[in-house]
Amino acid sequence: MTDKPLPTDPFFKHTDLTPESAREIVKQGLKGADYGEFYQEVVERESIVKDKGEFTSVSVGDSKSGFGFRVGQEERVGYSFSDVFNEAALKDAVGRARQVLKDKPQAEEKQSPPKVATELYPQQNPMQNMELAEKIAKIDEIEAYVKQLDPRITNVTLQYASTSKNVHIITAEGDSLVDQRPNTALYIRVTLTDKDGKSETGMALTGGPVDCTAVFDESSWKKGAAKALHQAEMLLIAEEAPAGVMDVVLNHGWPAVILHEAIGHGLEGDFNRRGISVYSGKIGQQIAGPEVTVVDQGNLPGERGSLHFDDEGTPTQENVLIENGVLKNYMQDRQNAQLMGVEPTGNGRRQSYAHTPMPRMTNTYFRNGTHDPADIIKSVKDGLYIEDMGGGQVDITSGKFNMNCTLAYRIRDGKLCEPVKGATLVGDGLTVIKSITMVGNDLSIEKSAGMCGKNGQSVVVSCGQPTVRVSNMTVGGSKKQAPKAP
Amino acid sequence: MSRSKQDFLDEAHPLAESLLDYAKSGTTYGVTDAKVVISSNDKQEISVEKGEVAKSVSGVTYSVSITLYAGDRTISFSRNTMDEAELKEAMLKNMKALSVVPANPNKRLLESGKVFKGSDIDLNLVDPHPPSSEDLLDYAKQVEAAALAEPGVKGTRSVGVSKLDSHFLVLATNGLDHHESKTRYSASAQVVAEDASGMQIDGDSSVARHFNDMSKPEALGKSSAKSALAKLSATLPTTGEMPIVLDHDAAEDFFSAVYAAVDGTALHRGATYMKDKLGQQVMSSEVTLVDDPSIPKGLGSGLADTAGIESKPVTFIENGMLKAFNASLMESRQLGIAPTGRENGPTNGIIKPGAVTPDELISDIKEGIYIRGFNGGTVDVNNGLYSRQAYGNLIENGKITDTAVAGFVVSGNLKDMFMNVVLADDTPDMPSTRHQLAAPTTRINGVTIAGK
Repeated sequence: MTDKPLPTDPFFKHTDLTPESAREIVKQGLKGADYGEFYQEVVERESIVKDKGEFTSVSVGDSKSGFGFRVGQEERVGYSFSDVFNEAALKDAVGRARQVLKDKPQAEEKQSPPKVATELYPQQNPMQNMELAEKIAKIDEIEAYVKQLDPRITNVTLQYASTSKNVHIITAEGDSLVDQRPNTALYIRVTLTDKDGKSETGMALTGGPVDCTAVFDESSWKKGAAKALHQAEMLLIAEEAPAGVMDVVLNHGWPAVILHEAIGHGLEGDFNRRGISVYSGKIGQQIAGPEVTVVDQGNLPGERGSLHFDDEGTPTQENVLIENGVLKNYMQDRQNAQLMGVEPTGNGRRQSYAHTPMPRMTNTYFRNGTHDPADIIKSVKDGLYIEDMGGGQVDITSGKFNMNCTLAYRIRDGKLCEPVKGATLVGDGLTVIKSITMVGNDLSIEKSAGMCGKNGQSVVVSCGQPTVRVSNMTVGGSKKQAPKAP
Repeated sequence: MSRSKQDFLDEAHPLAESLLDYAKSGTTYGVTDAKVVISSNDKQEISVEKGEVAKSVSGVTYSVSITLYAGDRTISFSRNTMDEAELKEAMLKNMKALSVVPANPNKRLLESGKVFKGSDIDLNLVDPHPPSSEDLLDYAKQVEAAALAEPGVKGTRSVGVSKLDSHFLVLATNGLDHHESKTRYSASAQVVAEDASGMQIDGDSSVARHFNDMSKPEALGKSSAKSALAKLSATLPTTGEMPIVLDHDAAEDFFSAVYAAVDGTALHRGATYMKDKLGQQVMSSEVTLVDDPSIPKGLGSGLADTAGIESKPVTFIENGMLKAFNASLMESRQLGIAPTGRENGPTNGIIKPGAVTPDELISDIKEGIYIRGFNGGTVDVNNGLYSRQAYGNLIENGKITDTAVAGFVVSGNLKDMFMNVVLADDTPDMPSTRHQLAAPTTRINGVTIAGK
């Protein structure tokens, strides 16, 4: 949060620098640059794993810290990072990064962006409200509970991890910003084995930008355990997925990861600046039906992909990308915004201090439509209902994506029938978004899952949607007989 | 600015000794053993755009991981600092916490009699003639220029080259004192090609321990452009059952599923369909997979793992028979089998060549698909489900045609697919500048294709 005085702990705990001296070196270092900043991070983490009755890992007191200094001129970026944060290292980093600069007239003084007012997630260490012994006891309790849920359970894995990412940015405008970004997760994995020795595994993730007490709350982990068990039970009786073209209904919530892949990535500013996205040059065009509105919003309270400001210090905001089917905006970091002559949108993100920022998503979702989810399922004669998805990938240039479905059901004559497994959905973004024929009124944003990879960098994101019907999707599955066309 | 092996050891070894001594002084908290792993990575990365530096990134990272043992109780932490006082402070906190950690005898250190004692073998993993920053920049510029010179190329998404110098040292109270240093260079180009049908992106890459072994920059630029150009005008094939033939990249991707199926964690959880198949036929009798950490300059080579076990070649599959599971020290104790010395995963994989030429492998296929790559999808070694998006070219009447296909899904069950593979005789040589798992051109009959 920006309205607190800059604390010396944890950022200036083991260094000869002070907030003032660091700021002065950064200010000098950014002279002549079009954009750039100082980014510092102190990440604390702990994790506990219990697998098949054994504590296989107890890691407490993990810490990773360092800083990166960036200067940019037009398309050129110089970046140096270091684990060691002291005056010599900072000056050395500034000197190395500045090697890409060319002599240019001084860029004009920039205005500071407005200060962030609302607290989106708690500004405190998420690990400190429980002792290690209490966490271990909770994990034992959860394991004992899960094991007695079903006599067919042959394995339970519980994985707890909590991270506190402390971020300090000195922006090109000379502002010092600090933020504490908590993330706590409990992963529950259940394996069922039937009397023929056939086994399947179900899993659930709980948590988000919350304190550790939240994932050890009974109602939270009981819900997670029920979800993991349900998934394993269904997979145990599921048939192999069919192959062919059919109508698909996507459950609300996490299956929006298809939106993230098939549409979101193609709307990131860097690809569009280079004109290599399938969505390049299409601003203002009707690319989907009028019921389709897509938003990326980093300032939603309590959501997994939310940030008070991005990793360049720009406050996050609501960005309407597609409105009633019309392409409106791309997501931008500072570099691409400047090169495209638009404003940054608060989407400049990076994996860590050892990485340079680029345009990334935060919480990406479809706004509600008007249809009752039950009516959407009823409308399909012969198709597939996707209850849960794994993840996927996209090729932003051709727009082709692939998504793997963890658990799906056949729809016949408007009714949910047998579960199926191993389905892969493929298509291209421009076709799929045009093929969204019904949008439900039950928007839900995923709280606990979502890691996005791009150019080798991984960041925490979320996505959401109401129930959605997509007509004529290609489904890949290994069941031998292809279904008839709808 | 990069640090030599000697610089690293001069700093890391005394620090590790001092940290171990401090750990041993923790007998009041019950500390019986300790292990310290120190690693450092110097990274430099240069990317170019339109003949100029687009991005230049450099930096050094460290990691110190310390595990404390009180009999069968174990706790660990890692920090990226070489500050002794800070590390000792963190260690003291964990000493105090040890008493609440539940015991797990499978986590104990390796018995001291089994610890790797060092060897005179030099795997040649450090480049004796490291390139300068100018050499790296020049290489990247040549790659970009060669790619852009190909007709039909619209531009690039990224062209970059990187250099990584890494060192690690592991010291433990069981007598383990092992260090390794490696250099690694990698270059890649992602190229965008365009024709009336639209844009396509693809690329190529090269990786080597020594800079001089990298692909020539002109060749890399050209092959990157060719990959993107080959995807132009790609269509969807017809849905149905047909044979597929995998090129070296696609075959590497496909056979990496064997490692997932023989993984010790999967075996311990009962989550691999090969769990009760040791000594039985699990693949076509043509298939032999050897994992060999002793290849000079190999991308996966090393003398010992971080548990202190000597790494030796292991034959996981021999003539289609499952010969071994891949077990870390902890997994070996859980399972009651021997550890394979691969705490950090597989090393260099080699699928031995088959009996026929690639042309002969394809010659009797009337209708099929030559696969150049897979994207995403499902590979589940528990139930065998295999479902991947793929791209490549149609095969017609025994020949690979110019008709590009993309966006379809290849599906099958690994249990059948592994039994049905036929191998060509063209396994790439090791060390390779592209493959950590070298596999020949591979044919699989009767898979399901979902297209139009």
